[in-house]
Amino acid sequence: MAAPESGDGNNGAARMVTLISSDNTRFEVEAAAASLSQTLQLTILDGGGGGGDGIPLPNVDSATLSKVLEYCIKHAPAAANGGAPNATAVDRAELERFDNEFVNIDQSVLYSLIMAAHNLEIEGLQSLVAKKVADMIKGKSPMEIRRTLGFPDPTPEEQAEMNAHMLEYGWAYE
Amino acid sequence: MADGGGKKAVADRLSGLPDHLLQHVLSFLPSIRAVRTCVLSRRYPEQWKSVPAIRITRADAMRYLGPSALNRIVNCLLLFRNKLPLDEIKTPFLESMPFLMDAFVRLQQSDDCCQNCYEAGDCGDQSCKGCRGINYGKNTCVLLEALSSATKLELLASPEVFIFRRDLAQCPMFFKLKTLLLNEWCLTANHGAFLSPALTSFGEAYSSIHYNLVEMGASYNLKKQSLILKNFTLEIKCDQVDDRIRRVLEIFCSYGLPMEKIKIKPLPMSFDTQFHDTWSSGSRFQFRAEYIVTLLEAWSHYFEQLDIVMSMMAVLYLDNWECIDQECQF
Repeated sequence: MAAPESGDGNNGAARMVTLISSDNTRFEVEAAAASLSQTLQLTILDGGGGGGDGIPLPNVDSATLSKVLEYCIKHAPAAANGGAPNATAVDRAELERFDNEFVNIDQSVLYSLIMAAHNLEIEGLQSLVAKKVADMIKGKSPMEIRRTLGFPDPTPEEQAEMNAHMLEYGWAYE
Repeated sequence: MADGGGKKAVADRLSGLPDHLLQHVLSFLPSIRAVRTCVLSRRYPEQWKSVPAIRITRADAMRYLGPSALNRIVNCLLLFRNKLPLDEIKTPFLESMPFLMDAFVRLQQSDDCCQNCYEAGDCGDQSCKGCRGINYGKNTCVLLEALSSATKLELLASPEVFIFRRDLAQCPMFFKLKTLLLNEWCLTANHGAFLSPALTSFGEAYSSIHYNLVEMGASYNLKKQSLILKNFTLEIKCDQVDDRIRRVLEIFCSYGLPMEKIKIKPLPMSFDTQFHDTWSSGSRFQFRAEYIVTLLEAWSHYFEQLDIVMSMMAVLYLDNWECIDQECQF
């Protein structure tokens, strides 16, 4: 077996855990990163995911999981600080830059991501994606939003309902 | 139906998000926009009513200049929200909303700021854009009175925005209020904004406290008031315990608020960028050891029985911070 204790004696190497995606790909990450997921955190605190055992994630495929972990690894140091006190403006700017870049992805990936973030209870990621989706539809007309989010064109019946709605909530369209 | 091909199936997925995630998405939209998403599909019409936030944006503020106009739009948003049976609503004013239990109001980039730093506006200076725009009566409660039946209120605004302070000066009574979340707007300039990045959650005694806070030029002497704090919990979220926080602690301790009713939590990392979510999500945050120690040192100022403080510290260490992780129950 590879020597797990390759660290500097006192603390040793960071604890690693293995996550297994729905398509059976194994991902080895630091426990601190995986612990951004409230769901995983409990398992990891109980000592799960180490050694040969992995934590199976039947709802998350490998493409999504690698993306999720990319986020977790980036955000883990900040989360470990427990709060803002030690974060410099540079750190924050860097995280923000990363976040912006991170969600600059295809819609289907956004969808998988927000579902995964929800299942794994990674609040920051869920908010990040939700905000991205909100940005995508911000300032668009209803028809443009429909197209952006991939709704089919409205049936005449739906159109009638919309018109009725616009009458009822006229104040929002003033 | 079956045109399009495979591309459509992919594109459709975002529209297929479960309701609660959709609401999360909509909570990032200005509320008026969120309302407009009702026209998107059959599933959408009810979504915005469950969205946990009311967002009034700068664009809204420009369009609905002044607090009373802004008020109207907030009224509308509140009126139509889910918890309110629609047939109960007769008038689009924020006068009384007896069914509203839980309200989150965040004023973002409101124009209702006084350039002369009058805490509750009304500086009388005609060149002051914010105060000049006030076109309602002096004793009018713009927003808060209507929310007086709420049991839980979150009122967030930037410190300069005076609407909430102004409203509180009218001393609305919150008979049912159990939890109130505020940010730094509740701390006024002539007290050195002592609670800057702090959140407080007050109990029933709340409204009379703030009466003094908002009075222009009032000396900050809460000791004059006799409050009954037995059902009262104070919760503060802050970066570190600085003088402003100490001042708050001092004030509440002087009322005899028992220690176990005070909770102090650190601000979440993403405070700047995700203000809304972090304030309202109630997520768990890890404490750092130094933080706790600082905190207890600060506290020892306020509690003569230092040994109690010391023993609390021991408990904290013994429990490896776990016990305070979620609730910070001292």
